[in-house]
Parts: sequence; structure tokens; C-alpha cells
Amino acid sequence: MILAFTPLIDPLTALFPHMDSFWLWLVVPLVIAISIIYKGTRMENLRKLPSHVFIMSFQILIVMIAAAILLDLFYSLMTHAA
Amino acid sequence: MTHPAPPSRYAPQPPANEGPTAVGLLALVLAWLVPGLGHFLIGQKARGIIFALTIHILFAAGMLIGGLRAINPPEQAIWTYTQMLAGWPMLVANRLQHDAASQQKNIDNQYEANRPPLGITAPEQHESSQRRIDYAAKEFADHPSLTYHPKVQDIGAVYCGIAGMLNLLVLFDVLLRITGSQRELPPGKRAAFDTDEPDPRAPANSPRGAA
Repeated sequence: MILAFTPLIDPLTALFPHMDSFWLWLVVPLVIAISIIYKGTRMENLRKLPSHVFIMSFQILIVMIAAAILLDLFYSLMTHAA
Repeated sequence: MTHPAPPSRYAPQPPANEGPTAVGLLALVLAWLVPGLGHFLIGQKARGIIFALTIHILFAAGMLIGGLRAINPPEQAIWTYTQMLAGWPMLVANRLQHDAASQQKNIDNQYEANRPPLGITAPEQHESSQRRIDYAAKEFADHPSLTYHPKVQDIGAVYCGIAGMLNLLVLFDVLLRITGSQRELPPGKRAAFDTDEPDPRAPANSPRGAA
């Protein structure tokens, strides 16, 4: 079946209906973009930008994963206690 | 006898003697309208290109993922405000979204009006349910905008909103540069954070400080 998909107008889920399953991975490009802009405003010398962006992206993702694990543990504790 | 207060690391910088130039002010306005153009105008061309590419790609990716539903998401006005900070991409997308809204309403109404009715008895209901499923599949294929995947489409709105907020950060950076302000960083940090040059404010025995 050929879909009447128009890029930038119709949602990408019309082409890939199972995107819901891995929507959380879409956070990664967002984190990289945030790191690029933040480091781009802070660093005077842009030669080291890629390595700084990589490190900052990694740090953000690690903190997000840690926060998710902590919240999951907290949720598990609360539901078991109740 | 009074002693002068020790200089604070966080004391505001004195204002630049001449203030921002006309080009600087123009750069500030254009930095909002076209992300990255402000830096380009004040001579930071590489930085401007990086900012322009990143913000435009992020905004376009948001619209690619969420379609026009990523723009002005209903009941989430905060994203509309932040998306507005992205400049021309949002101005164009906003116009498209408003134009498409009435068309989408017609499609929604048409979908509802032509949907096969539910049967009354159990066998009729079973048959009509199948007809409704077939009808929905055909309509969704013809009009993908009818489909709704909240998580993915919310991510699209977030992409566009974050693109706007990042442009605000870029705007502040242009403002800092055209006013000649300097960021206050603890001694020794500046060399490690910003440049390869030694930090003149760092202690002399610091490996990063001035020799």
C-alpha cells in the first residue's frame, strides 16, 4: 500500500507505524544538538568542539539513565510498600 | 577608616565604552529571525554556520517526526512559545499549520461522516466492525494526518521547541559579544574551558596558568 505521505506535513509515523516502540531513542539527537549549541557558545576555540560535544552528550545521557534507574527503583519501592 | 570591598568574582562587568554598534543590534535582531545569522554578521562565521545548521536541522527533524502536529501542539502552549523563538522556520510552519488546520478539520469531519455505522445485533456489529477497520485503514493511507501517535508526535513538538530555546541561547551569546561583555569564570577554568591560551588570572604555579 502506498501512503500519501508528505514530509514535514504528515507525521513520520504514517511511514513507520512502529516508531512508538523506540521513541525514547529520539532523545539522543536532541541531546547532541543541545551539546553542540551550548558548547558552541562557551568555547572560543572551536577546534575541540567535537570532542567536547561528545563528552557533554555522554554526560547528559548517563545522568538521564541514572535518574531513570533511581526513579524506577523509587517507584518499585513505593508500589511494593503500598 | 574604611577598606574597599574586595573585588567579587561575580561583579558585573563595566559597560562597554561605545556600546553595541548598529551592525551589532542588527545582528541581534537577525539572530532571532535566521538562527546563526547574528554570529555570521559579527564575524563569527564558523560559529554562525554551526548554529544555523544545528538549529535548522533540529527544527526540520521535529517537523519530519511530528508533521504539522508538532507545531502549536494543542493544550501544550508552552511549546508554541518556545517554538516562536526559532525565527523564520516557525513563522513559516505556523502559517502552514494555521492554513492546514481548517483543511484538517474537514478531513476529520468527512472521516466521521462517512464511517460505516455500527450494527445493532451481534452479527451485524461484528460485520460492521470489520468494515470500520477496513475503512480506517484506507482513510489513514489516503490521509496520514489522521493517524495519531502521541509519544512520537510529542517528541516532534519538543524538537521544535528545543530548537527555539537553543536559538535564545544563541541570541544571548550574540548579545554578550556585541556588548563586549565577558563571562565570569573561576580563575584557571577559562583556559581549560574556552581556549588553548594560558589563563593570565590563574595562579603562576598552576599548569594552566600564565608562566
